[in-house]
Amino acid sequence: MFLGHGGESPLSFIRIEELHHTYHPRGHDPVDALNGVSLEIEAGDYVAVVGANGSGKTTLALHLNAILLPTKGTVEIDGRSTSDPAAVRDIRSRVGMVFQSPEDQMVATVVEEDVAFGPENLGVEQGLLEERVRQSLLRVGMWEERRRPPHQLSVGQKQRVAIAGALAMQPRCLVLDEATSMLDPRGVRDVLGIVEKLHGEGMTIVTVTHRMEEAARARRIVVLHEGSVAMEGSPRMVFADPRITEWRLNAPPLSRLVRRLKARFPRLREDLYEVEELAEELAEIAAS
Amino acid sequence: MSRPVIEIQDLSHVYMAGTPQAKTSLREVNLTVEEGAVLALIGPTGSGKSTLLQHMNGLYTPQSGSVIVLGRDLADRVTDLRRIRREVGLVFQNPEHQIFERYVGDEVAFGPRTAGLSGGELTRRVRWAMELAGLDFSLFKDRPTFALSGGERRKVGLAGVIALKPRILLLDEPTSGLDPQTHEELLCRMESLRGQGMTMVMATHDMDDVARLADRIVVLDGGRVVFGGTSREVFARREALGAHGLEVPVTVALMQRLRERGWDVPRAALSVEEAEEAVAAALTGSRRRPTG
Amino acid sequence: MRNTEFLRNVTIGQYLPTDSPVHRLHPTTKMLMGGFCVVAAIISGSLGGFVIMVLAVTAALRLARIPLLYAYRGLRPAVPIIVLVAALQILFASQSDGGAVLWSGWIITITAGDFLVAATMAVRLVVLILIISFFTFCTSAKELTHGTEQLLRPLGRIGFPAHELALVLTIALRFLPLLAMEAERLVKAQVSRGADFGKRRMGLFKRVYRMFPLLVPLFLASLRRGEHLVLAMEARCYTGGKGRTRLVRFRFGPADGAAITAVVLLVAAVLAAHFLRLDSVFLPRLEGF
Repeated sequence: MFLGHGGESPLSFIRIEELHHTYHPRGHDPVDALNGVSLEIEAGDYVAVVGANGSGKTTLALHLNAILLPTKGTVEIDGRSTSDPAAVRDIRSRVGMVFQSPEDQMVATVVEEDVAFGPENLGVEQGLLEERVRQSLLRVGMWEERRRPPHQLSVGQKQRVAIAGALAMQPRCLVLDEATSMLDPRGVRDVLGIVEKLHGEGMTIVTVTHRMEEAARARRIVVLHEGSVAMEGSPRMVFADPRITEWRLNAPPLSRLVRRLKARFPRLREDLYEVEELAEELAEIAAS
Repeated sequence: MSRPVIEIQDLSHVYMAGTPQAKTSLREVNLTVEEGAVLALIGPTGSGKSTLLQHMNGLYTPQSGSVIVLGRDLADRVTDLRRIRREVGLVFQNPEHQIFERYVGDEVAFGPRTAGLSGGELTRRVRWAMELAGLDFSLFKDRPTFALSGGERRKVGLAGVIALKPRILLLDEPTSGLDPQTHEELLCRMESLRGQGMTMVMATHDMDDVARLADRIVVLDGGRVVFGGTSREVFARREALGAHGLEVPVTVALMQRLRERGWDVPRAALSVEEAEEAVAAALTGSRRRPTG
Repeated sequence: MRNTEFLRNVTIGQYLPTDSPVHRLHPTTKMLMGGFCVVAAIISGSLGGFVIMVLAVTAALRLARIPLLYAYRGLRPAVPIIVLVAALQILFASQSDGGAVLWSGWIITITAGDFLVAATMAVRLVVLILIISFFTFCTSAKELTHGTEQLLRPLGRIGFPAHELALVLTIALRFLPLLAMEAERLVKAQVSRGADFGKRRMGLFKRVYRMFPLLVPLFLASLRRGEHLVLAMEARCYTGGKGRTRLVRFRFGPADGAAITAVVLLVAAVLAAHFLRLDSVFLPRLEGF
């Protein structure tokens, strides 16, 4: 790994070193939201950042596109530091962000106009604007609804439009900050399906969530606890870690079941995340 | 067989009746809730769950059909709706958004104070409601509401409704948007209320919550009751649920997958422990050995 | 508190997308047309002129394929006001040269000329309502904001925040229905806890205090949404109107030229009727019956 000037590591798209962030709420003591977080995310990776409320996960997410700046430490996106004012616009067009509230992200009164908002801000030329909007809406399956007003859309559809709005800026990385926590099951399915598809196309995904079923789909989980990284690893490793209750999290029900069954039947594989997989494994055990 | 506390017959409701945006939100709904039972209303978004709940505490009076709550007919002009709303508490979705007082104690006291309580009696009621919702009275009563965490706020919202000392508690998506720990805490609170005999009706998308708390389930879609029954009965009908865009808890799904392969396991397991026992029993073969 | 459906009453002028030639005009054209007509209606005092305008608007409604009955039904809420204004004019205000005095007593004086003036005022109100309704029937919210921005853009060269203003308008229009729904939910939630929002008999302060359970959370909700929106806008690189390109572009066409010409002629006719006092030419002098 090359670590030359400006962090020219060819693989690490996101490099966070000893990141501290302190909030200064008026009339209160300062709050240390992040205490020395160090993290590297490679291009094309799918990382879930989990943690209880107050663990600092949203604060961390907001650093990834320079909405928040470090109190101490550095955050580098694609080799450029977020503390460099000249780099901010570039960084924000490389790292797209989708937030928690489907309702409050849309600016315009018509879907396609809202999707155009980002590239319009970047000054993308007229002729290209339409194409960008089209491509983005097609990728999230909302092209047919392009002329609808937001209040006619379901929450899942609104969130998809928000994703399209981020995609229209042609980012290399998508950060989802609790983007599914206000959705109904259908909306969650739709959004996660799109995220997985985008990942398959090479998009780097960072999803901040407290839904463990969602985190299970990522390749790597980063656990935040009280402002620092408590653990990093595959879903299997994280769900099996006994400190999970200390972090005020719990493994998804399926993983819990798998672990209990494994205690009785040691031959059982542990990294099972789908019901069908578990059923097959159990069938194999029965057959032997 | 306990007596019914809510009886709904042929209830229909049109939202914004008489305008171009009119929409039928309930169609001929029939439903009974027995005293002390916990009923779950499940269905896709827009199926009418919230509207149905809002009929149960008298926020709406029936446009057609009848709603009888605690023996009183809501369509009758004589019925004191305000009294109904005290006896049937409705916790809206995201109750933390209703908070308007500066201090937690005042916020929780709002309901009972409006109902006429004061002085020592009021304080005792607020303390009782806060403890039931999982908030330590002395710790929280003078806390400013804007300094609370999301989970604490949710509990304040719950306490505010419990403080009315309702006989029936209606909850609209009680655990939506909560982090795992608060979610768990809230479920424990609800179990404890159930244990004290509170009748509860909850509209929810969370099937694990339903598995844990509900005795009976009613499935709504497009404003209509599609089917209902005990939790086990309803969860066993996985395909029917799937047709309405609904899922089952993973433990239930596992049981059904195994049954499809010929295993002798129950049709529904409502908890991880139950599923574990069922699988272990089937594998270690006091039952017929599954062939795979 | 039996009816909590607020959105029912939030009709900021219904938009009827009938896709007529009028709808397809440039939004700025429509705004200018509406503006000129309203100004003419305010300046003019000629009954004849107003009658011409009513005919013109009716013709325009047909051209825009708006059902006439629907448009005229929009006048219904205003009828009591119109009748009241007319009655006040007839009973209390008198023109010095209004012709024969028909009845006089106490503070009431009725002259023949009063009827003419009352009729003029009534028709003026009708004309204003029709013009504004016509405008909202044919112009969508999005066109309104784009039209405003385009109109004000020349001012942008001297630093006037044209785009920002248009954006503020768009966001307000976007979130207004949301706030109405939020208010409805809040009322239901607080009523469920026993809130009553004050009776008419109570003093002002007491009533305002009773509204806190609605006003405070609504205000907080707006702030919350505002915060979320700002984050989303920053994440999408919004830094104000400079350097922005635009997806939506309206083009001026021959129809716009024709429309503007027609309106200019109409306004000229109306103002002529006023300044040349054509009423007194066409209507008989009123001297008794």
